[in-house]
Amino acid sequence: MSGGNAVPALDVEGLVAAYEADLPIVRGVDLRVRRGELVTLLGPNGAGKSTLVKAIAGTAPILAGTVRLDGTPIEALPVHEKLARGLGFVPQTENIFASLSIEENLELAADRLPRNARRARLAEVTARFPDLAREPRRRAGALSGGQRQMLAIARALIANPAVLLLDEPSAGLSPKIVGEVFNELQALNRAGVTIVLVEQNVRAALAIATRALILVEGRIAHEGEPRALLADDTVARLYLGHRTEVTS
Amino acid sequence: MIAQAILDGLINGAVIGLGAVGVTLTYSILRFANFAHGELVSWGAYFAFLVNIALVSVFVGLGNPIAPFSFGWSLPISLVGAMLLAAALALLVDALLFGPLRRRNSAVIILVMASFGAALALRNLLEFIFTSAPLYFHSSLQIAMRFPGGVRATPDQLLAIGAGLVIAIVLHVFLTRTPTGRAMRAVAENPQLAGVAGIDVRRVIRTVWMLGAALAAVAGVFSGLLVQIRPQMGLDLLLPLFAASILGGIGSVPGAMLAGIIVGLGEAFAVRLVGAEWRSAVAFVVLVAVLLLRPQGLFGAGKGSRAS
Repeated sequence: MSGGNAVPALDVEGLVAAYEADLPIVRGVDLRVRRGELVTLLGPNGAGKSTLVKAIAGTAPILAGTVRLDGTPIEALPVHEKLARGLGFVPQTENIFASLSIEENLELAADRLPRNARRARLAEVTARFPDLAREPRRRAGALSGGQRQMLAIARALIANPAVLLLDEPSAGLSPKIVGEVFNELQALNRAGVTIVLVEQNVRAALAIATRALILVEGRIAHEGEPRALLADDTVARLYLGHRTEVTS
Repeated sequence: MIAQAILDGLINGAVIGLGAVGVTLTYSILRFANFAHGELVSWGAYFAFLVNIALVSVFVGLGNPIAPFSFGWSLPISLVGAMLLAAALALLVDALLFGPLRRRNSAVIILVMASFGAALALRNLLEFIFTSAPLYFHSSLQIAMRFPGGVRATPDQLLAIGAGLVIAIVLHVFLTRTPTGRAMRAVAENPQLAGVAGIDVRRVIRTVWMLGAALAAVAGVFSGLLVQIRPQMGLDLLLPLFAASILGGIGSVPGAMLAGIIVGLGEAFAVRLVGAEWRSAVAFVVLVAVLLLRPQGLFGAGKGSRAS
């Protein structure tokens, strides 16, 4: 796996994850993510991409392996403590509290910060998402799909995570909105947030990723820079569906 | 006659509402109907009775009635003690029974059956310790105050209405304006996402048990003060509590309080119009009607649940 001399931001070793002990979905994954990278996890349906990020985040059971964040093992920590250690997660579905207002969704995350830092952090994050700042008292359940994704990302960002995991943020969104979400992810990455992105939308993901991994049957089958993966005819045909032009 | 029935209903409804708020909170966050909640009402009353006896035996002056009420300062102090003890009892039951079942991802029906078992054990334990003979916080006869229209109510009864309303308002503000309240509402909606958002879900569950039990103790003390303390008092209140929490909409504190008053009014009018023997049927009729016609209740959010 890739890596430098420095301690990786996220270091996953031999991860096995399953909802039933005799039916592992993730089967021994090693993943090392350097600070500032935007790594995308691609692969066919059922490959275990979502289960992998859920296991790292703590919402899917881990049977074996280690997860280190900045060198510290976190796999045994409760989910809420992983966020406190710097691991943010945006689930694919049900990723906002629909019955709460936009403001309350964000305050919920800010409540975990030191009291004197809350206001400033809320202002900092909402400044990135003007749509959310416009109607803070609006019920989150009334937001459009794209606004919901932005709110989920904003909520995860409030804690200022060192590594942000996103599970298919483009799911169910129109191409225009997907573009907006991905532009925001790229901007966040350029601002220094390390991102691990699970995606089915290969074209959009490869356009912003600094590195891509292809997961097949619970294992990493291929890894490399987006252009290199696309240049590999077998990889592009078998796992990426078609040849995809990378624009950036 | 109608005015008196309304006042009786409000008094009864305040006690039902207080208990129903506890039921609705635990139901929305723990996601099962805790049939042992009625026993927390009874245990709360007995805890207050014991603390009251202990206080008055040491500080005799605390038992002197605070005009115009029937009780002395010992009872409000005992109420605080009962709330704490009931909260501790709820945490103990959770640690011994519900917590292990949750960790095993037991089905809701297992939790419900466990709560039936807990209710039986707690009720029989009360009867074993105190016998089924009724107990009273005071032995004096309180004279009812007269109001225009021939309506009568004792100061204790009016206090129950006031306390119910104040507690419901304070609780609503707590749930909507404080970090702990927000966390409780988030866990009620989606416990897994709440964890991802940085909320310690186990801590929230402990808070809900404590809050629900403390409110049950308040309901128990008012029920004991206005009627009598008996091991069966929680069981008698159980159906009205569940009817009110479902009518109010699971998770809604104002809904539970309002629905408690509606059920209380229904019971009071049933006593006046068709006879006291039909009183307990009112809660059953309300429960069935809500489940058939509007399962989400008056303030329910439809699918899913929430606390506010």
